[in-house]
Amino acid sequence: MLVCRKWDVSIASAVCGRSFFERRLTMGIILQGSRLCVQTGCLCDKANKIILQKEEKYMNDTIEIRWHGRGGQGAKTAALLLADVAFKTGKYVQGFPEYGPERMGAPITAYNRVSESPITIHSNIYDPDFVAVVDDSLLEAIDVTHGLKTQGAIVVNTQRSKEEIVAKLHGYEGKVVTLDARKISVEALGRYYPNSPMLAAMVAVSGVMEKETFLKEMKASFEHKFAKKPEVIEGNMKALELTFAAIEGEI
Amino acid sequence: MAIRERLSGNEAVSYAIKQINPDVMPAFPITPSTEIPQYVANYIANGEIDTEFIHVESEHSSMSAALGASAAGARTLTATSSCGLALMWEELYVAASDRLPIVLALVNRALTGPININADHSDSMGARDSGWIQIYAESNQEAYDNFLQAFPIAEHKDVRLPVMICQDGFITSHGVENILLEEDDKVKAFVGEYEPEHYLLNAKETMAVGPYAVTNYYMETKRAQRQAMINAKKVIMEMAEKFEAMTGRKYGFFESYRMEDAEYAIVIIGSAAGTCKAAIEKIRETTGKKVGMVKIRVFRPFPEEELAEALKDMKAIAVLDRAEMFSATSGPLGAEVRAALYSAKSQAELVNYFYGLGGRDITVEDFKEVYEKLETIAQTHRITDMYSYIGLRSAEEE
Amino acid sequence: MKAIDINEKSPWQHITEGNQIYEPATSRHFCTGEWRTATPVMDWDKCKQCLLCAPVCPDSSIPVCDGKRQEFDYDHCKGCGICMKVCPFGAITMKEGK
Repeated sequence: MLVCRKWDVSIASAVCGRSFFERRLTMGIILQGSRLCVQTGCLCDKANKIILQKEEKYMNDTIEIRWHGRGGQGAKTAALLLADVAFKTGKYVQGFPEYGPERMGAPITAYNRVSESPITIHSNIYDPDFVAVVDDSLLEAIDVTHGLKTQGAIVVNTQRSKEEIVAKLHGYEGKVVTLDARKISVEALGRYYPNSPMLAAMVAVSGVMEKETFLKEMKASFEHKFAKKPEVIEGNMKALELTFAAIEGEI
Repeated sequence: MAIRERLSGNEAVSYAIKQINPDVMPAFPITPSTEIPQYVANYIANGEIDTEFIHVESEHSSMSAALGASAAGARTLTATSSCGLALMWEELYVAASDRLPIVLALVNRALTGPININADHSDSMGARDSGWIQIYAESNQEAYDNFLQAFPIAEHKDVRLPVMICQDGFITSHGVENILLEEDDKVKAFVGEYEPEHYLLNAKETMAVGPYAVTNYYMETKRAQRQAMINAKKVIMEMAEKFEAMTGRKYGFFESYRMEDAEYAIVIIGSAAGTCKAAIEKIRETTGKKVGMVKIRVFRPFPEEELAEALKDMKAIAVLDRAEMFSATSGPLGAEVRAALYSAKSQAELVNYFYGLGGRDITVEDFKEVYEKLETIAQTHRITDMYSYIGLRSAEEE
Repeated sequence: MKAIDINEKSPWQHITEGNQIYEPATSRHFCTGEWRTATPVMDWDKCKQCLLCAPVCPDSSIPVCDGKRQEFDYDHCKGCGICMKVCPFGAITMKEGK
């Protein structure tokens, strides 16, 4: 099974510490198709399930995420933050923006790949496992579910009802999760920053890492980033917690 | 032990600059390389390095200042992209012909018309005849690794030529990826101190740089300059071996990927090579077809013989150019690879594609189609379109 | 390689990197006086040693020794005539040819 062999690569890499290629050659000898290979910071069950559904694909241990936002809302930052925390759990990551007119308010797209093995692909993502929409006004302008896998999910930041959102998703049959990031952000931070709630929602929905690991890494990251503004750390952590609580029933 | 990190390509190059702590950096901002002088300015402001940063009013001035600083004896670098490189045109030639070992961090971006900020190689390919050594990166890791090797190559006594370290705008410059960084002391030991043999600020030796040369001298001077580029091949390989001994990461003039038994090959430069690798793995796993890739790392000096040796026995080859040169025939890489194979009397079929201009994306599926086309060409020995495009909209069947 | 050793018969291997020159005063070796089509001539009777001519010579071809100008350095004088123009006493005249 392809999946197993790919996972072996990551273990072999830890064992051999050699180049990707040499790993490919040595992995068979080292692990002989053993499937028990999830190293520290492994994929959680939900992600496993998705990976198993992706057997036909070459990069079958890679989770691909697409972010839709508007310039200035922090979709790119959210993608980079997700890459950051996934990196800290031992993964191979990519986080990259696709720039259009580079103006405040213009639609922008950002992407993540998260994998157990090195990622060489440098193209954009057309068949994502997950999609995050930071601004629901984009649903009118952009086909956000384009290419999105039905076994995946979409997270939409909105104050509208789930039914209203589903109706705008061109018949997407996969999981739809709505989140009122404004409410959460204002409650936790006193201002509207959709970033942190959307990041937490994407982590929860994609299962790219365990909640506890995520919270721990984010706390460390905030403590580093806001060393001179400790009051912000608590608010941001609260936003993450509130998000997990808000969408608990949906995932 | 190398340090496991995740950085963007611009961060990676800036980090290399910080570790090297060069003497002088004149720079003028231009997307997508702007972050490099920004990060370096931060390092300087924080007291982490003591590089002299020169604020200039244009790229013409930044390269001019670099010429002066380098001639004075300072380890000098700058960074730019696209039209910024174009504005340096005159000074690029001066740097190379005056044999000044300047390093330029180039973040490849399309040249204007129409104005566009995204990746293609029209800027550096336009400068390919300026006498600079050109080294290209597929990933952030390679951009970092190449940068660490740049000064030792440039400053080597048998070379003394400027070096351009190229990476693809936004794709790697702004994309965050895993990277292995080397420790400061190892980097410092590898790069070493710059001790120029001759320099303007040497009080013990009077020196003239860049004198006028009449016809009686010009041609001999250019032949001597060519020798430096020939010598660079040996030095580039020496530095690659030294670098491998330090890091375990192997570099050469190009990377041969799954070429050991390949029948069909793509020749390519830059970040899209990684996407091509994924396509190769997928094709080999699903069909067993013997597909491979040669990724050019060193374009100047051009590794003609080595490349011909790697490619001559292919059934069919596709050379992918990320820049036009408006010869109405090949792109720059296509022309040179074809010339190399001619000298080697290769019978391989060869076609030339243009792709990725102005940041147009290229996918695993695109590469699969190219390999399929190569298979058809090898079977029929018929080439219907010697020059074609990947991902181009056309009213006709291309 | 000394600049004096590089000449129009030198092979490319003997050309310095970027034509750099690593010594001072190499222009002494290059007799630009050969280019001269008009030659300044001194009338020492009219010269008051005011020294206005010496600093304006573009080729430093009017040597001054112990506060007195000497004969022209005809190896390097290109015959531009600026010294003749600047001389207030008509002590310098230009003669056609070398």
